[in-house]
Amino acid sequence: MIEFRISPKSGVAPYRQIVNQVRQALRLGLLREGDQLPTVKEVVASVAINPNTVLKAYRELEHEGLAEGRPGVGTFITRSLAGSSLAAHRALRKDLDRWLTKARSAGLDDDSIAALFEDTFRGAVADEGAA
Amino acid sequence: MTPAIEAGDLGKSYRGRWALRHASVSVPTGKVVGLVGANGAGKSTFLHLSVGLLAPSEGEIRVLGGRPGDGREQLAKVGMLAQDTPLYGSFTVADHLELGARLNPSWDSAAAEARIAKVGLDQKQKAAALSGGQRSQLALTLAIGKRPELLLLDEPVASLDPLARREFLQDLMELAADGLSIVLSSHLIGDVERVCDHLVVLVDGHVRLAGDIDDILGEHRVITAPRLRPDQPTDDEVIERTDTPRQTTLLVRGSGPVLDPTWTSTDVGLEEIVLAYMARPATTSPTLSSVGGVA
Amino acid sequence: MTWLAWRQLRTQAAVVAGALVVVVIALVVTRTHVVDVYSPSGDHELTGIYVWLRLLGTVLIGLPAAIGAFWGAPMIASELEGHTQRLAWTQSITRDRWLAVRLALTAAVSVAVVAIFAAVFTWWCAPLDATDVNRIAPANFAQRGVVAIGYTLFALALGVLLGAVIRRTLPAMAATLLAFLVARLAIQKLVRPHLVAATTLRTDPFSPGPRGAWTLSTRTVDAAGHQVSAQALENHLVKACHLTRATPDVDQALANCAHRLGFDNLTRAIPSSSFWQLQAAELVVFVGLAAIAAAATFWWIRHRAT
Repeated sequence: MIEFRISPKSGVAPYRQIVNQVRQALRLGLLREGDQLPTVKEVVASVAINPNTVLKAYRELEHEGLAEGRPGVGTFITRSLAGSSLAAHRALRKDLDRWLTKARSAGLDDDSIAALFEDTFRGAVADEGAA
Repeated sequence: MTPAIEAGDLGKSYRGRWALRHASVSVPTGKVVGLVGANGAGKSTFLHLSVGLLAPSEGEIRVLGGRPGDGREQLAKVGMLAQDTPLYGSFTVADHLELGARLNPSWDSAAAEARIAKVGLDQKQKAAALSGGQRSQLALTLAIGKRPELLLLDEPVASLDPLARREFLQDLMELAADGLSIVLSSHLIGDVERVCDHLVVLVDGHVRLAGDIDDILGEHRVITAPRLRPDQPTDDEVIERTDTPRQTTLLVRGSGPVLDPTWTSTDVGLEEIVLAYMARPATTSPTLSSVGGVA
Repeated sequence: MTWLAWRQLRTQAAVVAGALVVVVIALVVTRTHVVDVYSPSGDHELTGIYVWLRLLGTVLIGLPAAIGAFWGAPMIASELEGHTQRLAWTQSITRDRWLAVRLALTAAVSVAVVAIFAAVFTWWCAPLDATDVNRIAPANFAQRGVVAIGYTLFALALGVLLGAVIRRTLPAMAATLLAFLVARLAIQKLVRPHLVAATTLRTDPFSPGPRGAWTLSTRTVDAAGHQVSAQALENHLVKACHLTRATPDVDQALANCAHRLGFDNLTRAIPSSSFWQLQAAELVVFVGLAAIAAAATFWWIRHRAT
């Protein structure tokens, strides 16, 4: 069952954080079509936030077509975001692990690794855009 | 829909001082309402008036449609957790549960016992020997054991350590998820923002701002100009104005278009809004936000 | 609510009940000796420990005040001081009922304690009273019969009222003791003399006054009915009957002389036969005052307590 984390200082509204975390879980295949999201009561019992915040998040997910509320039963995922790319995740993870090991042995610290990745990523996105 | 609390020009004075005056506010049911203000602003007075511990000096107050404290049925509808969790020190936890059962016809014994077990309280312990967090949990069990429609809490987490505070708020939110209307007072706006969806701000015994938090956030914004400007770009009500040689900042209420490109408009957080209202001079009339958009 | 009222009273009630049991046993066990002492062949005087036991009567004087201070004053004051009224008065029970049950239970226990003590003590003292004691005079009146019940109810109600108004336990206890004392003495001096009919008795001056009666006032009059002072009379009699300090049985001689010359003492007194009537009347007065104090307390917590 997915566990939500709300950071009050992040500048992102709490309900939005929940929506983002569900989307993230969907992308990573941690949540799949047909899975039930925790009930409002379960969420607020572990994260002390207002129940309406959770309701708002679930409504937003419904609006985006990602989930559906069934009265008396719960809220269920109706679509996945990972799609066929999920199959490739495992292999890609392995590649990433190898790359990270290389970067570490080259002497890069965490910040350098993150900066290198971001720069390369942005460059690739820009190239894709131009292509 | 009957409001949880409806106050009309409500006032209370004792020993020559008005603790609350001209309070007119309508608090809806089904919400977690934050009652915010500095110490001495009138929060406890408002809560005590709502539960019948005090009688109004002026004006009227109706709670769930009835007069506070007026008879057993009215008393059964409203649960109260007063400041500093009043308990009988020489009574055990079991004694307190017995008190609840004997004095409340609507008492749910099984639920109360289950709750005490869940929070890990020893029934044989005397209340005076409990920790702050344990006292709060016992007092909360007492307040909700009679299955009220409305729960009032006066600074319930002010003296709790962070762990106890979180556990208490988790339990409170579970109750809110079940449909209980809650009003809790606090002088910490951060807590309120997290758990409340409706707000009432008290300053020196007067209501300065009231409404759904989403509405309040939607109605206010900060408009800045990069140098000192004597004017303002919209006709919206200015709540707070800060002038420095480098920048002019206006916290406004309203959604009038900002046509002058030298001004930038940004969202503003709840804490800033509340602080601005608290700093306002006493002569301005209160701002009431509601779904109907009545100001 | 009865459960709560009892739960809050039970420790103190147990202590008092324990003390009462000890005292009652002591009195029951020692009573035969008292009978012996006051039998026709006895000494008619109590000695040793029995002097102390007789002094238990003063407990009957102190007990109502103590109940008022220790059971009455804290009843509402300690709730207000500890803010526990915010717990008690937000349950599904009205303030009226809360107070009514607590007051009724405490009153019942108090009255039971005092009544048992008064009954046992009066029984213990009966041989003594039969011979020599003036029950109706103020010195002993409160230690006999049923008035202590009235004092207790009044002290309790007064304590509860002062506790509600003053809101702090210790000051309320002190105020209760003081107010009760003042009220008790004021009523004894100003009201009690008028509760039953007094009779006027004629006796000879310098002879003993009416036995067993409570003397309210005495004046000496001459044959024509004019009042004379005791000193003036004594001087006159000494001259008229040629009496001196050396005359044997000088008081009897003075009395005979006064009688011959037509002087009388007119004594307004309440006779000992009116004892129970006076007890009942004073009981009614104090129960009435208790009712007023209780009513005032109900009004106060409904309108003025925070």
